Amino acid sequence: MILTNPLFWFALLGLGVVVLVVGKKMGLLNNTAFAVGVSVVIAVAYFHIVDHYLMDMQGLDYWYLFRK
Amino acid sequence: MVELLTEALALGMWPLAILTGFLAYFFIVKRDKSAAFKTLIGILATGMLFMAIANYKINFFGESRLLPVSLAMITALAFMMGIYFSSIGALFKIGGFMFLVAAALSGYGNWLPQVEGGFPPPEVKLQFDAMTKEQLADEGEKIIFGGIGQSKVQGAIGKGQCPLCHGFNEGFLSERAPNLFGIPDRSKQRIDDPRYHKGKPAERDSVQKEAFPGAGTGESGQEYISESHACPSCFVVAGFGVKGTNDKESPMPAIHKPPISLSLGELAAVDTWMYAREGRDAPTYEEIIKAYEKFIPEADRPKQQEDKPAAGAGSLLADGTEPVDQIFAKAQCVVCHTIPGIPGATGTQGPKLVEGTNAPNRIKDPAYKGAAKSTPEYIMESVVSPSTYVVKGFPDNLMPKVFGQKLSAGAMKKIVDYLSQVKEGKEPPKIS
Amino acid sequence: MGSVTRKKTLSVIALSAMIGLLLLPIIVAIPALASGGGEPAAGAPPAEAAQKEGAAKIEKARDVYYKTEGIVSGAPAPKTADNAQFYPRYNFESRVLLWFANQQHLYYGSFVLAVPIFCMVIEFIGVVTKDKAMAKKYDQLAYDFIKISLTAYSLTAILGGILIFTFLTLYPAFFGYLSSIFRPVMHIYALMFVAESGTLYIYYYAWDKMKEGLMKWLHLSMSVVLNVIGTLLMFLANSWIGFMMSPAGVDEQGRYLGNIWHVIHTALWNPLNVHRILGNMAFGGGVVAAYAAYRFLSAKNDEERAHYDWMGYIAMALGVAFLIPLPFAGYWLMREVYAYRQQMGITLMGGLLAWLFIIQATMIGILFLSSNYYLWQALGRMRGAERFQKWIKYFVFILVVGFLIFITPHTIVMTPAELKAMGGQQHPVLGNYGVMSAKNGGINVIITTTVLTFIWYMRGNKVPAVSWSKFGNIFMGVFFFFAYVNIIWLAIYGYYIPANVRVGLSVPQVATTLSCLFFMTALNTVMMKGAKQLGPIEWGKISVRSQYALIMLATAFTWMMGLMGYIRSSVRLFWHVNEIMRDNSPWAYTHTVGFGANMISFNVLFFWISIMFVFWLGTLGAKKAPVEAKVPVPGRAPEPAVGH
Repeated sequence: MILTNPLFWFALLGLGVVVLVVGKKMGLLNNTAFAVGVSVVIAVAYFHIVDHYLMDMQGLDYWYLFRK
Repeated sequence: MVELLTEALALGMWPLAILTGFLAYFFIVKRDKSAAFKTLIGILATGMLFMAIANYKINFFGESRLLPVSLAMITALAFMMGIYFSSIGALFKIGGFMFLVAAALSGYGNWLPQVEGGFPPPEVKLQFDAMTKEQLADEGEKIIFGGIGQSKVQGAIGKGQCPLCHGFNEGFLSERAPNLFGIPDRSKQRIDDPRYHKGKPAERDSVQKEAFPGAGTGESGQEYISESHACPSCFVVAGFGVKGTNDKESPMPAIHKPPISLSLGELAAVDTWMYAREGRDAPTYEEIIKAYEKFIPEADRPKQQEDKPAAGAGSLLADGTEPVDQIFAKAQCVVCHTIPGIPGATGTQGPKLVEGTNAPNRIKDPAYKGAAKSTPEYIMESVVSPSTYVVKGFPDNLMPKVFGQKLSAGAMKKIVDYLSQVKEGKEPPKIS
Repeated sequence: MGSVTRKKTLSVIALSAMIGLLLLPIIVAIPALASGGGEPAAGAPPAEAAQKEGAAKIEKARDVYYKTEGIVSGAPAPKTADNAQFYPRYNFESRVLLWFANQQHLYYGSFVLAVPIFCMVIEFIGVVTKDKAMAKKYDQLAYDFIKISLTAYSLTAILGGILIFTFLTLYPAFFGYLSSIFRPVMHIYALMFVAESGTLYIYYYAWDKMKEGLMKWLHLSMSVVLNVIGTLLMFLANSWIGFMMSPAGVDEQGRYLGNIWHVIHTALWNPLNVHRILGNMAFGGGVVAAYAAYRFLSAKNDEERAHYDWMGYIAMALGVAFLIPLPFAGYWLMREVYAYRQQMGITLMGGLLAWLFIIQATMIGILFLSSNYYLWQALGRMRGAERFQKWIKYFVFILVVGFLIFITPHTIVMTPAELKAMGGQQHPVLGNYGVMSAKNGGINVIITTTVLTFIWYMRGNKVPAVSWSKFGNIFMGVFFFFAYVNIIWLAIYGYYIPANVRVGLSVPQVATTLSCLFFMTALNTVMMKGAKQLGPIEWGKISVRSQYALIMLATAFTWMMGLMGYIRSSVRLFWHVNEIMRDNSPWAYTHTVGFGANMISFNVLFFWISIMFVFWLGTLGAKKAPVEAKVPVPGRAPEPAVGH
């Protein structure tokens, strides 16, 4: 499943940052919908990465329940 | 209350007398009503202070849980003084508030259930075989609960650590392990349980079928109890197995092995108590010992400790003279690892040890950070320092890191030799 | 001018010489430590010689912890018996007397070790602050701090003397054994103590003389030296308790094996060190905050009120800054305890002492609630902060829910019968953190909320003026929202996965909290650059209640320290030195929770009464010396960002 792959979340995080930079160029930063969208993408991706890697670091599988 | 007041008066006689003198002086001589009133407040506060102290003095070592009331009383008097003596009011109020916080916290501590740790077991060497049944039962209670009469005390626990998981009284909640009330009768029924497979250990579906190869199953109630102590996984009461093993494996450690390491004499004492407390006639000491000898091989029997109640931390688990299967058993590898060719080694908490196949792959794994270059080195490293490389899907820090000290060089060599020959899909090597 | 320069140079040389002399003991001590305490170095060659002669006098034994072989060079731990020779006594429980003496020494010791660290930090801020008025204010604050600690310092020494005396009188055999083990480093301890005193006095008395330029930096570096000595001193003291809990460097009979480093560097030494440093700092912050609260409440004019309001705020902020990492250091210590002896861990978390940990959990919650309450009150002294007030009730709700989850034990406590089974046996991996993802969720929610409160406090009277402020606000909101979601999700998730996977969940939870702490405060700081001020911070305009919150914080902290110390000490059960030397006194049992709580309260109140007396003495001194002019408090002036 793609959701359990950390690279997917990295890609999402990267996407969020790219959109943020592009949005900044286009002066969209203070557009509420844009800000919320980008923030959600970045925050969700970031916390998934945190969860995945900090469990992985301990030799554990964060996605245990979903792989079962 | 009367006692408290008398004590308070006895303690605070002089300060109170002096203050009363001041009161008289202000009231009669100086006719200063406000000063007299303040002195009166002072007398009241002093009286309360000494009552609080008296409460402490009387009840300090007692069972009373009302000592924090003293602190609350001091809070009240401090605030009272703070109102009337405004020049140092801040000090009084802060002090009073601190007393209030402390009163709340120690009140909380006193409100919680009170458990007192019993005295340590005496350092005398016990002669279990020379004891009467009553003495033996007393020793048993000490081992389970930490002291004679402690079985009635909530939370009491002794060297055997049994009450951590087992309930002992009728109707007690005991969800980790079976409640042991009524075990003298139940043990006789249990051996007839179809899942117990009396006399036919090979038919058991448990992870460990026999206490040791050839031990057989229990034939009497006492033998059932003995087997349960020596080999908890031989038969697991329905619902109490390790989660996910479908009651094929027990979470209980073998009681004659570290960390608990009860000697046969101590186990006999424990069992005698279990009978005696229900008014049953316990089997004789010799009978119980015999029942244990059936399930605990000579080499595994803990010696009665000389003067150290704790498990000998420095002793070796295996010295290398044993056959390799016994080394695996003694070091308890078999509890967590499946090792092809080793009887009873069917644990699943750790990876299956087919190191002849696994080790070369692991060393090639980019995540491998250890120093091993060959299969034997890898095995050695994994035993001595398990965290160096943790196999994916298994938790770190689960395997003890003490084997480097607990196994002799000879034992280690045997383990390495054996494991490096185990290969996936091939016949396991011969036990040497 | 020339003579002034020469004088300066001379004084610098004199000072360096002095510091050099003071540091001498440490330098002398290093080789002794490196060679393992001096004794084996001298002892080894004769040993070989003796062996050559065939004299079988050299006995070798194994270290109980390090498992190394060593030459027996000490007497075994004495086997005591319940009599007046081993346990002389008054008509009172000796253990309680020692408990009292120890705790008081520890309170004062922690305080005088923590305050110089604050001084160092504040003096440094003062030196690097560009705003002259602010710099002076910080400098004065640091000076105030060290002044408080000076009186306490002599009291610490006196209490230390009383402690040794009590120990020696009531437990001569035990004390004799411990001091025989630590003999190789005893003189270092004594010399370090002298060095600490010397440095402290020079540091204090040279404050005015070394105000400018290079001298100020020298003065500042002196505070670093002071803290290094103080910390080493504490490490040495910790090695005693570390040895008592998890002995090493001796054989099974307790005979010293010639390697003093093993004796010092026991299994629990480092976790204890870290835990104690952080604890001392938080405690010191609490005490200074209480001092400031006392001065605030008894202040006679607005100027004083403003100064002490500010002082209380700084002390509280420093204290809380060290309170936040404290639970994590605590986890580490517990993990090491489990690694050292699983049984010890179970006694702590799931056995005899488990109720004390319930109290501790409650207190951690109280500490965070009080600090939040203080910050909310502190919003009151800022114009423009009114817009935050209406949200506070929701914060309270979140905090209370987090708190309630946090104090609920892992297994639901209905009866003590249930509790006694808590922790321990069912999970073979309790050695890691403990299997309490839900509780961890609770505490992490509390800490995250505290971070949020702090950010709101920082924003109190300001509106961000950066061009992307709308995005920044939304991002911050979303980030916090998902942080909460992640923490709570992980807490719930823990119930659905096996215990050995569950233990790991606390790490991403903590990481989430720390992400909020670091990223969001950083983001906030950037957003607040050049922010529009809605109004000044009106120092001194804070409510009286807030000061009681500070006192609550200080008292609760003192209490918690007493509690944790009691837990740490009683986990040895009936051992003086764990598994080496038995306690055979009539007081080898463990008291009830209630008795412990009463005793802790007594110690806490005694400490506070005595230290309030010290504070009061301090105010007397200040009144007699009007020369020490109060620095005008720039309370009304706009505060630079460092003020926060």
